[in-house]
Amino acid sequence: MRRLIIVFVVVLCARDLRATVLLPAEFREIVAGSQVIVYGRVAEVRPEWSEDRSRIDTIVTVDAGSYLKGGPGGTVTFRVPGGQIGRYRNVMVGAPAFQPGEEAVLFLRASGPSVAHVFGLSQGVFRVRVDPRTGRRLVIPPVLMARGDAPEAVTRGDRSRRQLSLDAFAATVRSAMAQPAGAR
Amino acid sequence: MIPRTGLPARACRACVWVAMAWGASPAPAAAQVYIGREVPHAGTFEVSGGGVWFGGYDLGSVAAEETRNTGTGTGPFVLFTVDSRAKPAPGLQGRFGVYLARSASIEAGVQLARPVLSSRISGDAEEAPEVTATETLTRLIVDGSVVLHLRGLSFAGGKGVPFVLGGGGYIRELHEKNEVVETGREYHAGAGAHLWFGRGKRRLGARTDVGISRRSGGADQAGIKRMVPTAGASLAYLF
Amino acid sequence: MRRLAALLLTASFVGAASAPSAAYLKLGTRVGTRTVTLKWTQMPIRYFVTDRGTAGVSSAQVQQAVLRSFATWDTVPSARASSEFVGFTLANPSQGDGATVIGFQNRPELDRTLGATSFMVDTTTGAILESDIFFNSAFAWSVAAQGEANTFDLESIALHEIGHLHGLAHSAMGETELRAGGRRVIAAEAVMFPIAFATGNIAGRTLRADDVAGIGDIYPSASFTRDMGSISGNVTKSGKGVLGAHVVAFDLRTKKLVGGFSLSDDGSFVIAGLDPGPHIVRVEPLDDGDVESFFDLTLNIEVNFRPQFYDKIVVVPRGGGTSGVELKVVAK
Repeated sequence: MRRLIIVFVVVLCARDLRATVLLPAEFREIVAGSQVIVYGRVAEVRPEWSEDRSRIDTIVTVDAGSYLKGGPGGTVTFRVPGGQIGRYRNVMVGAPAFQPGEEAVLFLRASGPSVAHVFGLSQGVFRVRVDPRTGRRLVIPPVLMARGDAPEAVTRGDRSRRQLSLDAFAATVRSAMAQPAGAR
Repeated sequence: MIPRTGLPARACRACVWVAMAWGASPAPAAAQVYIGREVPHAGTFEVSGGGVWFGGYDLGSVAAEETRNTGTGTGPFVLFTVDSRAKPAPGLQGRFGVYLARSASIEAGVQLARPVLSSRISGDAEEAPEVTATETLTRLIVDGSVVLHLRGLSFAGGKGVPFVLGGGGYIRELHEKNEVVETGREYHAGAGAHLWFGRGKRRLGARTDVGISRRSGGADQAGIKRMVPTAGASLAYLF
Repeated sequence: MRRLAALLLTASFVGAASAPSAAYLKLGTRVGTRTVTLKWTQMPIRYFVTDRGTAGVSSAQVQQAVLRSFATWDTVPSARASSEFVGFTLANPSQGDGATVIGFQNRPELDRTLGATSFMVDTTTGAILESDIFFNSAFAWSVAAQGEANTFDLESIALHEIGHLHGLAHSAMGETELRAGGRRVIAAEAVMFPIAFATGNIAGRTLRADDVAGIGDIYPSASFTRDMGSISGNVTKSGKGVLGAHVVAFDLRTKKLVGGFSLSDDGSFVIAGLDPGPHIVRVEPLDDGDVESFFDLTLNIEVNFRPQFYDKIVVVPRGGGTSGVELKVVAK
């Protein structure tokens, strides 16, 4: 052939594994189903064996910036499946992974005295990214909230969806709390 | 090479009977201008080459479908629809025939064309703009025909001789870059005329014909049979 | 740029354009500074089934459903995957025992999760030490031949999870709708679509062209290399490469839909495992509400463009590839 091409093997690194069958919740359900909604910065990630030593989980500690629900407290701690101890890495595909310094709005639940966990495995994680052009903090992904009772197709490339600023996202959460799922 | 069944077969058989009836009738005396054995006769060859035009035809409609979830409607979910058409195209043709009798010959032919295949993509579920995507095919048809020369209908002082023909052929269509081949079959029937010049055993002439070709296979996305009009004009040589 | 390369770029194969080596969204793991495809180096995959059922499904029925699901992947002609049921075990499908275990488990903290696949990976070699699949017994399940109302079909979910176990990531070949109660699949054309069909539905027991292309891409058989072809090109917006665009090839003759992604900063993509013949190529953004099902959100996945078609019919050759498909997208 006249020219050669480089073909990239398309792989994602382990922390990017997304491979679980989920039942996606509507945003109001995420809000209503979470005991704590907090915006903060990840301070520490600490992998540890589960109590029965059958898997590795990671305990994530977040310095709380502001609470949209629950709180108060200077830090929040929650557990996510997967982590690395020594040379062995346990990955539960679909589970969120965190790095110190990351910012996020986290929707957390807890049952009884156990350590909190993220709503819907990864559905309760809304990462915060600083827009390099404007310096504003943007929340990704955008909120998918039903506008009425009728099903509404999620169209790719929908012009009406926009990434929200942190303040606008907080206002959306408060609006959802005031108008919970099923209350329309 | 004549189809045994179906519409093309019936058309071919009708052509044969009509032509035999005409061919059996004596030619007008005015046409008998040659001395000696009449040309053409059994064993005379004819070679011709020229241009051909293929009409356009629809290749059908196919839909990109996804499997629908329970309770979200009926039938497959259509992501988009593609309506395809082969555009009319000029081409080249060459034929070689041998006369079995004054009024009947058989011939083999080759036709080559490069039609544009056009696919109109519409009805996108997420409102992607409509587009017409195209590619250029290379089409080769190898066919055989029975030709009946209607000498009873000759004109221009016997120099012009109408004919009818029927036959079948093999279609070979290559997609762009010639790396993917699709094959099919065709049956055709048509009519035309020769106009011969000169008086000798070897003559130059012109040939025109029109016809209809019934095709299946080839670069055909929806598996439909289609009728394709054709027209050709060639220089012919009789020897 | 450097970071993106570190995240995405694992290895590059230089080869003739007529024989591209790979393309599909696959799982990977980091080994030192490299990232390697997460795949089984030895076949068959040997697995155990937890000797515990759930309401309405016995452990023997779990084993049969899992066996059928493995067999569905194993019989893909263009792939060389194989599996072997070793036996029942009392162990849970959890990590650390060196065995690949599949079964039901009660994980109340994993709400809204029907099932999940885990890997234990040796980070020095990238080797899979074990992989486990759990089905969440907090939900109602069925193995009924025709499905059962208000229960999830175990074989369908097992087929999806076993696809992950083989190293396949999610497919974007599906449409969703939003309503009270959450997002729901309207339609999908891949078992590896991340959202399950409704309860009672058994359509997920059948692999689609997108799944078949994916498994063949990871474990190619001789026929994959010999009989299939590929399309490659770039997705660009305003002259810059688009990362994370979903590119779909539609076979005009077989009506098969196979997708791939643009996975480098120049927007290059490859869709392998295609039947030879003419294809329509379509590009669309990922659902911006679902990006994390496919990519790490720290990557700058571009979703701000409109779906569109390539304006040429792309002909895929047998055993080779068609390159140079330039898809220029525009902002919403």
